[in-house]
Amino acid sequence: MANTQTTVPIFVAAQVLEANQLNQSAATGVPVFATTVTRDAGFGGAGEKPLAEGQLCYLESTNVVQYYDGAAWATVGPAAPAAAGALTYISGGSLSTTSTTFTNAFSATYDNYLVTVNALNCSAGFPVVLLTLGAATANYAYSYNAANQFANFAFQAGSAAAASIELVQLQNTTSQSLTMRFLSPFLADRTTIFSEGLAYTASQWAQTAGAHNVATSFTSFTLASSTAATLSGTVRIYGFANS
Amino acid sequence: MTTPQKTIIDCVTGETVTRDFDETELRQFEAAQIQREKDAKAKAKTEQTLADKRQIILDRLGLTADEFNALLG
Repeated sequence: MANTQTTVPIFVAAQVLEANQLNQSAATGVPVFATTVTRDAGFGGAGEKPLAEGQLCYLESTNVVQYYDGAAWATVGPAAPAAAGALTYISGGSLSTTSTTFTNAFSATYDNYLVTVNALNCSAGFPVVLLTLGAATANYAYSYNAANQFANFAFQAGSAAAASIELVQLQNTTSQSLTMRFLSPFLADRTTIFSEGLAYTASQWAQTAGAHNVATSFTSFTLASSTAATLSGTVRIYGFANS
Repeated sequence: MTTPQKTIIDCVTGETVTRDFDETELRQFEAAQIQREKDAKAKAKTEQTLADKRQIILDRLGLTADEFNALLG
């Protein structure tokens, strides 16, 4: 790169300032290094500026600006950009009531999302966790399959025109969990959802494939209990980078 | 019955509000529960009908359900 340097020069009295030295030290303002290795080698050597608190630099390898705090380099910003295809944590929260809505979860930044629920539990009975998008209470279609490895039990359910999507049936115990993938919830398109849940009920392992069948842009989703029982759990929402 | 509660979490600001279901939400919740009970009864009836038919066939064959499953491998 045109601005990349390998040294930050320092001058002594009566030294001749060459054009290339001026270009290297003054023209860039903030010294630009290819990597942290060349950054570290660029200070403190013969004819180089000693590294001191307040020094700035730019790293091409991670596209970040850093400052030296007197003991170590710290990143000013941006935070290291996510690699292509990586997940980015957006937000999260706790389930603690019968129904929990996460607003402003979906935006134009991502087309697709991953939602995880750890330590999923319910206060009583065997409620089913239900999913809805935005304020929509109709036009959901889904297939729900569940199996129990111990009882060789298989259960299937589904609907072509439901008020919500069934995800997993819970029991009042611990260590149940749920993951969901949302495709195109913010785009003005059909939103599709794929989920997997693990519970301690007859329908122990549950898989759902569903959709909201009307092209709609949603910014929020709701996880609710099918009964008055309260749900608990830790929800984390991630966005899949678009490229 | 205690009124169910709803929590709203804003993923941008982090603001969290917890409140009782409003009238519309309560009506939808109750209607959904009634529908679920109806669906469960209909499903149980369908399953019982199938089980009865299966038993009739097994009786004709003179097999128990375990023996029939053993035949299927």
